[in-house]
Amino acid sequence: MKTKRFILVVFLWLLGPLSLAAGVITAPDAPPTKLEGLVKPDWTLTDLATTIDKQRVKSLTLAASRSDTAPLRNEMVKRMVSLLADSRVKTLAARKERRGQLASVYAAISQGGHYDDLFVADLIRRELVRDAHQTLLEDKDEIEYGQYVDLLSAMTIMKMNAKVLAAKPSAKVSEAADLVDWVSAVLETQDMTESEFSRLPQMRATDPRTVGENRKPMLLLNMLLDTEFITTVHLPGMRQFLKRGGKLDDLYPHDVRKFLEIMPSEVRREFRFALRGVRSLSPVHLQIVARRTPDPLPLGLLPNIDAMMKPGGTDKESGAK
Amino acid sequence: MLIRWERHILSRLRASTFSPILLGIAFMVCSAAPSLVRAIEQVTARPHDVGTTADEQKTRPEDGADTSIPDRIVPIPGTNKVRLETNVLHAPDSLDFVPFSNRVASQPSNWADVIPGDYTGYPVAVYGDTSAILVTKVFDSTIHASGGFPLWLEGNLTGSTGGSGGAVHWAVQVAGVEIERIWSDQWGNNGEVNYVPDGYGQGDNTGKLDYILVGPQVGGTFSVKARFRQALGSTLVRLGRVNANGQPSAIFGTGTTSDRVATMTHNGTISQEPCRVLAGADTNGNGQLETSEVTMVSPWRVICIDSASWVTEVAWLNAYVTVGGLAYPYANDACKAFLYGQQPGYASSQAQITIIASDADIEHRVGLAWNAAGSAPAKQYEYPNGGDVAYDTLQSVTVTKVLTGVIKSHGNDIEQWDVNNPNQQLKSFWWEVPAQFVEYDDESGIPFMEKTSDLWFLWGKARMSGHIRVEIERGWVGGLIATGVYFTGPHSDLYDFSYEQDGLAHSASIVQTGYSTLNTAGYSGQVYRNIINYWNNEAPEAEGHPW
Repeated sequence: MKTKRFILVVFLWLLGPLSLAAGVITAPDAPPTKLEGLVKPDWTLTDLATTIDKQRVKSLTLAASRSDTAPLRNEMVKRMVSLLADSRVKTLAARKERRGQLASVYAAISQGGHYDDLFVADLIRRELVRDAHQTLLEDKDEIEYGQYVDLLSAMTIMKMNAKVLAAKPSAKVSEAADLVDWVSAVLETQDMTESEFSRLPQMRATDPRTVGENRKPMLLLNMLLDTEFITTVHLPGMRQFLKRGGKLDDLYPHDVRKFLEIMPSEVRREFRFALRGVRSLSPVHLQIVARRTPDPLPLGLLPNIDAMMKPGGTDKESGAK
Repeated sequence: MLIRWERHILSRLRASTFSPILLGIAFMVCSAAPSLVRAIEQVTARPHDVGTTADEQKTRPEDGADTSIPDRIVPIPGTNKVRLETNVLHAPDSLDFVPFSNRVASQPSNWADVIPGDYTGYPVAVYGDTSAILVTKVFDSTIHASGGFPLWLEGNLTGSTGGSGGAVHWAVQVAGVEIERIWSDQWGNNGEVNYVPDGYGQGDNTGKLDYILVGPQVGGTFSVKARFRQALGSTLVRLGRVNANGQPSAIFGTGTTSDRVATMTHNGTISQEPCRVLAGADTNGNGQLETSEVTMVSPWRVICIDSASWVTEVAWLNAYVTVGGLAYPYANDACKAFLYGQQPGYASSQAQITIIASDADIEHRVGLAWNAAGSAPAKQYEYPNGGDVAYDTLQSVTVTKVLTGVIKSHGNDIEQWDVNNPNQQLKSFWWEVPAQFVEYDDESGIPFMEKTSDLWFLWGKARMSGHIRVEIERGWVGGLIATGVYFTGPHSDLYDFSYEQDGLAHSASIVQTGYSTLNTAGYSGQVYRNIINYWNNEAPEAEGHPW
């Protein structure tokens, strides 16, 4: 009996190092892989995603080190932004492939732990929102659209390595039970008052260009919350609406009767986001997702990815329709 | 605070028990008119024999005062005060100031008869308060004192010395210009619509502000007018600024006067740092009012919004409505309507209405082109009562609280029906929803995210009134259930902004100040009214057992 126990202990003792050596698991404290050494300037999203998958990169960072100069950091961010912008596609099949690639890159970079990593991770979420929107409008494929909703639902802030948003280590941050508690705990560690933070959404803070350039944690948090809002309320609300037989043409801003008929109050209440003052799904949330305007983006923000690259530039696709 | 401090000084002086001597003195205050100051200097240069009784008059020469040295009254630069300098041989042991209104009946009632000078238009019937007197220094031979204006006081020196004694009553009369009202003449029609005090707007600012927002006239010239309680004569009046110590630091533009009204104009860039109305005498005779000549500073402020400020804030608002719209689609839509003067996309119709300046919803009396009588044309946008804005508004936490409160207040009616009609299954009640303000400040339910919902940015604080119809049904196993609550009535709000707020609202208040004299290139900034006319709209959140 004792011998068996000893063998089991030795086996378990050896299992960890062996697994690490084999690349099966990653040590929790293993330093993230640096993007600079991983990505060549001419790489595509496919190249990056393939590399991440093959090398089993669990954590990817744009920040090479604390001593990185701002130009180098900015170069890394621009390289990623360029890579994302160039990967935009129009067909359903191509979008499916892109979705998987974006998911792989997001999984690694959302664990990078630095400001720029979170920033780019959120841009990836927004790219997926963009693709979901186009899938909804062009392909009207509810199942395919649902894939995006499920994927984005899993990409919550709470699962990101977002410690950098707190100014100092805080037990409240690490032990927060939900997003509201977590945000409240992060604010406690920052100089920004709660009142100041509550006013951020009405500012231009949600513009990725502002967030990328200013490098202020609370601006980034606000940007993350905007994306979280749309992936928590708008997109899943739309899927529920479609599942229950709703049509995009039923969403008319001056007559909500059809919406209310399809979405009774108990269903509407499933979609809430208190950090934006929303207690239940409103028809306006679905109208935003279903908007068919020259700027089709429900966020109205992603074109600025291009603007970051080329000041004064415009979204490549927004005027193409 | 200052008044309290002055009173404290005086009380200390009264309580002192110095050895007796003479003199009394009293004074007063502010003068902007140089002629008046000169007149007063003449007055105070007379022997100090204006005591009220024969004894008092007799004691004066025995006090040993050097009456060959005239008293002087000089303006204190940067204040609305003057200082009386007089010479006595001994410091008084106590100095009491008695309000003129308390003087004895034997005193002359018309001091203008005693003291030469032209007091036409000056407030001879206005008495000061001893608290406004400030004794700044007491020397062996000189008393320096100053006070606010207009003020009539008696100085009552008590005590005795050198064989003389008794109270000596002094009276010194100084008057000056006192400002009554400042108003904006943005549209050049001389309408006293946007003014201080008490005429800047209402809303959340009621009773709070000491300033008006002023936009320039077409062409960029700021025109501000002020009325005084006295004829201005040769007094110069200008817009200017004071520093942190209240001292005049800058003077802008030009000014003219006519009887009691001054017109101040300034053409040029000017920061939003508040201006004040400054008045004083042209003592050096160069035709300009200089900071050292200012003897009156208005207690109210004027905040001028020039073209540069307006353009900056328009750019920011433009960026907001271009980029925003995710979290606050209704607010974004309404802000676009404000900025571009267009109908909000969620509204279904518009009408032309007239708004009067005394409307209780107005935060500042800017953003509308007022006529001289104080009314202005405006647009009213109506949101359909079956649309999404109407729906979200009616199912909001804020409105639900109001409707639930009405139902709760009629709980006895429901119970009475229950008791008196045991066999009746259904009942409809109609109850009034009293006219009231509703504030959408806590839709999120999170303390630090108050005032962040879309409805807050759309409505802020809105008015609603009307009635509700409540459908009550007796349950199968007993008990009553409200199966439906329906609201009928208007819900409206004036879409304007307060300069007192920060962020977007502050910027928008600057943009609205530029209407209708600065707005160009398709931008508006005009204040408008939003309204929903509910008609039997179901309020789903108020269902259940609210009582």
